[in-house]
Parts: sequence; C-alpha cells; structure tokens
Amino acid sequence: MSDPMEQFRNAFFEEATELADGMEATLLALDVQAVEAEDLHTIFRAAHSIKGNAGTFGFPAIAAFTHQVESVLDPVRQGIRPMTPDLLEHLLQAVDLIRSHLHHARQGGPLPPKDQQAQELLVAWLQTGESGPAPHLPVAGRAPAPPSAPTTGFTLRFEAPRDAFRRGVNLERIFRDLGKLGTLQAWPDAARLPGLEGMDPEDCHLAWDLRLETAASRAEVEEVFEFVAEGDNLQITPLTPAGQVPPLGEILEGEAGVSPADVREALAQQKPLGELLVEAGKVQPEAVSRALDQQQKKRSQAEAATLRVSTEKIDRLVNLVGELVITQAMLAEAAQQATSGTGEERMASALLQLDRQTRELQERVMGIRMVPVEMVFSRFPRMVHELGKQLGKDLELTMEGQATELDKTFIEMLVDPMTHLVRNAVDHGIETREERTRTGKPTTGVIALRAYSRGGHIHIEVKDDGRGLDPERILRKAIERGLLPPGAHPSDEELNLLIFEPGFSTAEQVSDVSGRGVGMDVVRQNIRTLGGRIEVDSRPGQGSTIRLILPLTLAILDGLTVRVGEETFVFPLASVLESFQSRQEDIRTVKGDREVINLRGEFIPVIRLQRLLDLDAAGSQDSGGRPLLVLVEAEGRRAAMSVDELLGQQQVVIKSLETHYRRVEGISGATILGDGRVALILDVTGLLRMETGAVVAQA
Amino acid sequence: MASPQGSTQSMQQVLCFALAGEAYGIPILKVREIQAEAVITRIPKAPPYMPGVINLRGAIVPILELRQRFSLGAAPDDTRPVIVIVEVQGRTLGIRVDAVSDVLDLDPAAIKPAPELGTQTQLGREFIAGLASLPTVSGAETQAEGAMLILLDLDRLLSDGELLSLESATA
Repeated sequence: MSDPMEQFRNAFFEEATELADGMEATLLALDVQAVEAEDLHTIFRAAHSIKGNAGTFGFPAIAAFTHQVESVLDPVRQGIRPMTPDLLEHLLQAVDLIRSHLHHARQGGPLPPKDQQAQELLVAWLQTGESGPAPHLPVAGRAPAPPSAPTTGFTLRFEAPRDAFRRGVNLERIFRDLGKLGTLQAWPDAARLPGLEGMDPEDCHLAWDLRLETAASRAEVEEVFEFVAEGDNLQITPLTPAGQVPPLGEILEGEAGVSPADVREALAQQKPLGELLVEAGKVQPEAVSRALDQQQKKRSQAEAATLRVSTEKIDRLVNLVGELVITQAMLAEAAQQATSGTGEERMASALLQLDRQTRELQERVMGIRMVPVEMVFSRFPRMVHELGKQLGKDLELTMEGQATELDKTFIEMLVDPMTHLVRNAVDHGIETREERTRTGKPTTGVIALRAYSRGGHIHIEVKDDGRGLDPERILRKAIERGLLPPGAHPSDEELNLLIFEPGFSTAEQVSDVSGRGVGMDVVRQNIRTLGGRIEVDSRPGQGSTIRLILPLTLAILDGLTVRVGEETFVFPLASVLESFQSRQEDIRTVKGDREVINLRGEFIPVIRLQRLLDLDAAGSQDSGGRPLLVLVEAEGRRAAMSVDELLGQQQVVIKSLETHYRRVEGISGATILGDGRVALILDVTGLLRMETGAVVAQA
Repeated sequence: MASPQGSTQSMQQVLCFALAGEAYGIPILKVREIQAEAVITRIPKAPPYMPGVINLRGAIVPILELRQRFSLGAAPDDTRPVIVIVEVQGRTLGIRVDAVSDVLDLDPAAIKPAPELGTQTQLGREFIAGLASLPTVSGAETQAEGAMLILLDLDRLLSDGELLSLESATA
C-alpha cells in the first residue's frame, strides 16, 4: 500500500460493490404493482454515488455506464416512466454489469467484449424501453443493434465477393453512398491478391477497411451493402460511444490514418508473456498454466483480504486501548514506590485491572473477525428469483437470523456449499407446479434459510417444503455405486448423508442447475475443512432440512490430547464421546483381523491408530492387552480408537498445515503445545473414512 | 529462477552447505534464516524425505530431508544437522543439511551447466542450476583440488516433490 491513491481506489471498489449489492437487494424487494417511491430514490442514489465516485477515481467507463443507468432511473422515480417487470429484469442486469465493470477495473483490465456487447444492448433497451433482442444474450457476430441506438459511427471490414466484376457490381457506388452518410475513411487491403501466376483477372480479390463517422444507424449502413454482402464478408463494429475511452487502435485509425489491417496485424503479434516464454523455450507450458492459476488465486485472495468493520467495534477497541494506557501509567507509578506497602497494594490492583483489560482486548480483537451471516444469505434472494424463472417454479425465500455472527473465514468458505444446497433444494427438492397441485400443496414452494447459535456452535439450515429425499432410491443408488454392500440396512441418518458422497446423484436427469452429484461433495469437503458437520432431516413428501453445524471460530478448539507411539495428537473434544480402559475379553475379532468391542451391548469397530497412521512401534508399551480406547463419533458413525496415553484436556490454537505444507489425510490441522512442539489435530471423519477405505482395499 | 542472468548481476551470493561430503549452494536471497536442530513432528504416511513439520515461531513449517531426497543414506552419528529455512514460491520450508559452511560471492561467469548425469541417481540434472569451482580460500576448510560447488535449483526441487503434486491432488 505505498501508493496512497491505491488505498482510496480500494475503498471506492468496496463501497461501490456495496452500493451495487444494495441496488440489487432493493430491486429484488420491489413490488412492481406497488412501487415505493423511497425504494426508487434509494436505487437512484446508489447509481448516482457510483457514478460520482467512479468519475473521481478515474474510471470513466464505469461513470459513463452508471450515468446511462441513472438517466433511465430518473424518469422512473419521477413517475414519468412506469416500472415494469421487464424494466426490473433489465435493471438487475445493469447491476450485474456494474459489478463486472468494478471487478475488471479492480484488476486493471477493460470490460471483456462479451460484457461490452451486453452493455450496448442493455443501454439501448433501457433508453427505448422497447423489447429489442434479449439483452442478456449477445448474439455472436452481427447482432443488429436496435435502430435508435445512439452511434458515433462504425468500423467496417468489407471483402468484395469474388465474382463482383463478373456480376458487374459497381463497387465505387458503395463508397459514394457511404460517403453521403458521414465522414468516410477507407484503406484498401490487397493482401488477398494471389500471385501473378495463379491470378484470374476476372476475379475480384479486393478488400477494404473503412471507418465511417456517422449518426446513421447500423441498418442504414447495412443497406448500402445490400447487393454485395454475402455470408461473412462484411463486418460492422460500432465505434466506442461518446463518453467512453476508445481503444488506442481506434484513435490511431481516426487521427493518424493507420490502417485497421495494420492495427490488426500488430495486435495479432501481441502475445501473452507466458506464450512468448514458452516459445523461447525458457519455460514449460505446464509451469505457465500453474503460474496463471497461482496468479488467479493470489488475485482472489487479495480481493478478500480486506475487512470492513463497524465503527462501533473500533470505538470500543480505542476506548480499551485508552484504559490500557492508564493502567500502564498506574503500574509505572506503583513500581516506583514498590518498596512501600501502598506501592505493593497499588501494583496488585493495577495488575488485576491489566488482566481484565487484556482478556477483554483479546475477545474484542477476535470479535473483529466476526461478520453477520447476512453476508452469505444476501446473495440468495437474487439466485432463487433467477432459478425460479429458469425452472418455471414459484418460489418464496424466507430468511431468519441474518444477524448471527460468524468468523470471516467461514463466510467465504460457506458461499459455495450454501449455493449448492439452495440450488439443490430448488431443483430437486421443490416439485413442479403440477406435481404440487396434485399432492395438495400450495403452488409456491418455500425455501427457508435459518441461522442460529446453539451450544457453542452455529447452525445454518437450508429447508425446503418439497418432496424430500427418497430413502429407497438412495439405497438402490448406493448399492449400485458400491458405496454400500448389497443387503445393507443403514439407518436413515447414514442413508441421508450418502447424498454427500462424491458423484452421488439420485436425480434422474442432469439439469443445467444441478444433478451431476458434484456439488454436494463440495459441500461436505468445505464444511469438514471448517471443522463442522452436516445433519440431514427429511420426510418424504414434506421436504428436507440440511443443517450445517459449525464451531464458533476456527481459531480455537477444545481438544483431548493423547499420545500414540512417540507422537502427541489432539482429538477435537466435540467428536469424543468417552474414553475408557477396555478389557481384553470385550474385544473380538471379525474375519480374523478386524476388531470390534462390545460396549453395553453395542458392537463398535476398534481402530488401532498406530496401525492406521503407520506410526513407529517404538514408545508404545503393551498395555497388558487392555488397550486405552477413545470412543468417537462422526457423521453418525462411531468407532473406538486405541491410544497409548491420555494426556489431558485443553484448548488449543489451530494452525493450518496447508499454509506451508499441504492437506494430510486424517489430519485437520496442527497446534503448538506448551513445550513448543507441534502436535497434529486428528480429523475424526477423515480417519473413519481412511479405515473404511482400508477395508475396501483389502477386500 | 535461480539460474544466473548473464552480466546483469556482477556477483551472486550463495549460501554453502555440506551434505555427505559434497558442497552445495543455494542463492542467499531465498534463505530466511538458519535454525539449529528442532524437534520434528512426524506426519503420518509422509514420504521419508519430507518426514514432518516443526514449529517456527508459531508457523507450522515442513522439513525437507535433503539426504533422503538425494538418497545419500543416513547421516553419521557425529553430524549435528542444521535446518536452513528458505522461502520458495510463497511457502516457507526447512531444509535439513549436515552443516552450513559460509556465504560466497560467485562470479556468474564461473557457473557452468551441469553435465548429463545418469538416471541412477536421485539428484537428476534437473535440480542442479549449475556447477561452480570454488576459489581456493586460504585458511578455510581444506578444499582439495579446487573444490566444486553444486548449485541447487530450489524451485525445481520443490515443484518436483511433495508440495505441488499433492496439493493438486486435493484441489
């Protein structure tokens, strides 16, 4: 952050993104039949602020576009132009384009051509209100713009038809007619001429690059070429509209008379750095693509690296620091009189105060990372709206507990899983209108998002009132896929959790929205990374609820430290049910080497951690055939894990292994013990998976 | 890249360390610090050349056992290995070596490409950025017949190994 302007720019991007989000939320909440004037003002003000700031910080393209949006909104808010569902849709697209603008401007690039095109069409629609071609589907190639789109002119590339001379076409007339429309510049291009030997003098090989500054519409220009345009020999590109920055090539063509063919050739020579390096043999193509991935990752990290904190939270911190300074002064004074009795007394009270203040400071600083779950929820009204339209379903989205606070890291990691869950609920959960009417349900399907904290955990629910999961189909599918042995009788809970297996989809049809069985796998992966778990409640015909249960924070974990061999490991206390010294006679072997223990009438598999993790046998004394077992539970399954010693129960600070190393199977992270050594935190779910994996591999 | 860039840089500084009687060098700019031996926490099922992690002032940092990586066998009992902490591609990593000797100024012109080595050895040519003959330093450790320094290409060494291959497997 050496460049002060950079800081302001970042603030601009954040604020503008927030404004765009606000515009979207207000638009979605609008009832077209009864529009609140205040809502329209809010939207208008947001567009206006973005425009003003974009201009100030040197993003003329954003300013120009938001200006156009603003000038559409103005008559609407004055009641001159009515708000229609169509207009609403187009305004939502405008918000998307503003976001795209912001995103690309932040990365220092121009708007990609696809969005550029979408923008032109959208602006044209907004200004006329006429239903031109669907603006969100820019047709590749020569999509004719609506006739009244404001133009400053066009660049044209015209390749004369080969038989033009034979047909007696008067090519000169074309240029004369074009000249009548406005100012015309023309560059002939003889590059298509064949060599003298292969040339038929009656063939026409000429082509021209033209630049026409005109107020005429595209249709008028196309008319001139009526008799010679065939296939793709005519390309018309509008010049950059007034108020936007044209590309360098375009200016050079207009001002310096550089031929478009030369510009094209020069542009074609421009190659990405990576490609040049590969060609020069300096680097392998794989290395370049890896580097590009890395760059992308860094970029998205950089974007997410800032955090907006409420002023209130900061004020409290500032107060606290003020108090600390006072305490420090008290301590200094007390230290000077340390020998006297009063000094000692004062010292003691100041230390007490310091203790309280540091603890509060710690809590508050941790609190800075907490953001309301609203940050995740807020994107869903729009998504559900779009999905409902796409799938032809009537949907209602209710949200509850948006103020529940979560660690910022969680928020980022929750977006993907939540998106998948909501998509799934809409696509597979909610039935079609016809089906709902047939089963006597209201036609409008309800998706409910809910967040609340309970017992040191945050629960987030995605609930739908659709058809629910079909246990029989899941069982059939699971046996088909070999996830369960034929004839298995899993509990409902275990069965429902199978939908999170990779590649598991019971949808008969793969739709655009979901059904490939990819999404749910991501859900489980992300939630597990966060140290959380998933519960599924489903009643056939009545709907299903998927509950994500997350720890309050990623930073600290209640753990049970144990010794296995020479190493120390930490079990997350949340997944430990009990620990006990077993009696040898309770442990039985199944099929020779799998062990189970009979615990109060229930048979539970015994997992030898030492064997599972391939640890050295050293340091593990024979516990006289009475292994120490820790009973754990994850995803509805239980297992008893054998350890060598229970060391104690303590809070540990979680450190990522992935920062400098990588993910390790069966390990969710690391922590640093009191003696400075590193201890690994066990991932119980992962261990159970490894164990079943090992069984399958042996079978 | 660790490869020297012609005459743009007059001298290149390298950190020299010993491994099974041979002298190796890595660019000093990649080195963050040198640590005495620390307790390594073993990672389950990790390959022998990347046995575990250490606590580097609160950060969990993996250790690369260079002897294992190059199949040079276990260190004799009287060696007291040190850990060279390097930063490569945004990651911090400790490299365990037999001993660190000193920092040398190398003339880039003195660095020669390595000849093709047999595929028998684990240390293929791809990890070697170049070979340099050491200026005979008077007084320092006795370096017979103008000893040779093997310059390692850290980026290659790491991208070949554990870190990247396994990261992509979980991605």
